[in-house]
Amino acid sequence: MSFSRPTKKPGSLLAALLAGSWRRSPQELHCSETGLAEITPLLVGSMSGALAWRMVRNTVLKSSASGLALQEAYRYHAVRALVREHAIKRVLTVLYRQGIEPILVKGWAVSGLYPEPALRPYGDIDLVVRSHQYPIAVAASKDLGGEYNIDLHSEFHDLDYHRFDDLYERSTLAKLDDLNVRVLSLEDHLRVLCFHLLHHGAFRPLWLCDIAAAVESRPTDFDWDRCLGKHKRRADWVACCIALAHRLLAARVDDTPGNDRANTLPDWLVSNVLKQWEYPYNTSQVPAIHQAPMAKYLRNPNGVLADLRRRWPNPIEATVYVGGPFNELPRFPFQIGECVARTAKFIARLPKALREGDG
Amino acid sequence: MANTRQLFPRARKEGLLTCEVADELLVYDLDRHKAHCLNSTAALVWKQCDGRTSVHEIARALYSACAVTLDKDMVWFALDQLEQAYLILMHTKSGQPTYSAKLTRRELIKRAGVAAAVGLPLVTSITTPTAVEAATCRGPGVACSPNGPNSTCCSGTCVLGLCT
Repeated sequence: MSFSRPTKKPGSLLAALLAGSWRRSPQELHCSETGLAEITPLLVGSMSGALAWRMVRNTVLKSSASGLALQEAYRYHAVRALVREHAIKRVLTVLYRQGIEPILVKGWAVSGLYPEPALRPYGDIDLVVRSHQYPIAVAASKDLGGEYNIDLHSEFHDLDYHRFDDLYERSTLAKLDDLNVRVLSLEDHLRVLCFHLLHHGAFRPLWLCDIAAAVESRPTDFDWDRCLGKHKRRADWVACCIALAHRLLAARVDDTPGNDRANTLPDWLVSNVLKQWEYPYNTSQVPAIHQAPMAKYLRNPNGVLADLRRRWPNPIEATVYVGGPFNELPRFPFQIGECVARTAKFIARLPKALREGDG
Repeated sequence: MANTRQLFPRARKEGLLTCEVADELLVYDLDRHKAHCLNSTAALVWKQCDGRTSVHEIARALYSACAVTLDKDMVWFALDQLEQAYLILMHTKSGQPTYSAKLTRRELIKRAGVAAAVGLPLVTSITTPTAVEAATCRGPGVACSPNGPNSTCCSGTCVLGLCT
């Protein structure tokens, strides 16, 4: 892997550095100090610093300023992994006591695909519970306080289109010290990871590393039919994500649905992801870039035009939002479609928002 | 300063999470929410602090167990940093807490020579990299700022300091 030419854009530099970084024996890295210095803030800010340190630590760059920053990020994430695991144990113990057995998705559940937990940092603990248990789980998590960053989901509505019971039936138990943690089957998890990546416009490189790591670590009896599901278009979304992992991060995708799709990936998709990776921060994303809820502008329209511009949807998110295909057609209609759908939602919620505002 | 033979440092065990990475020991203090990185020499000293072994004996034990040559000044230097990080408690034989000698790194390097400085025990704080919070957005019940310009709640609504 080589990217010593400074002509490459930051997104491409970042992709080249992270290629294969999730493997137990990552390939040798050839990289200039200038190139590394250019992307170090992106790596650290997007939580890929620990993975990058893994690539750099056996090279001469390890003692450069960028190398030291990445090493510090690695240390931080190693400690953070301990703290998060401690938090998961605490949260799950409380929920188990309430008779709730959630399914843990993403985050810790994915970190096991990496050689060390530090390489796959996560901020929140995504727990999915049955809808009738949701209010109890919310109350229990409130009692624990905000420091645990629990992201509770009622069923899988915003993560997947399968029913909780179906996913639960296929789920497995993973060990966190002496605690059993219920996680999705590899097939279901890969699909959820793909949908999550697309839903957020693939802005964080680590998410594509997750997909690459999941694909490469799949067992020989991995059930692709189960992973892709029966919905044809959504199955293609999953194939697109795997193909993206191959194109951008050199994931090994032979004998996967992503192999053929890699040759037909639309150019706009690849270029858009690389562009996103030039600003891979939470603070550059929705809803953080919104200045205020739209309802506020009904009382004071100052700044509404600027905020509307910020709300212009990313083509990946727009495609997924309206359930469109990933083909070579322009994305403009999908973006318009998303705006219309969101506006309709906003109008439907408006009376309630106004009532709450008056209160 | 108390006689070093009569001081028995004891490593704190409660409220700490530890992990070894490469040749370092990382420690997270759950009470103070602080993270520390102990280099291999400092980690060796810390592991010897069982509350029964004196400073002099620690220096000797390290030499015999790991062939690490640490004079008692170096052990003191490690203990001083560990104590400042709240990772050890210093006790005299009578059980009274006391304070370790204050030796600066500069003084130690002067005394030990630059070559020995490579093996100096070091306890450093781990700093938080900027913009690392990974949560895509904050879920229900997670703290938020209702008056901030950007509510980061997944729902987009922050009520009474908590995401809905």
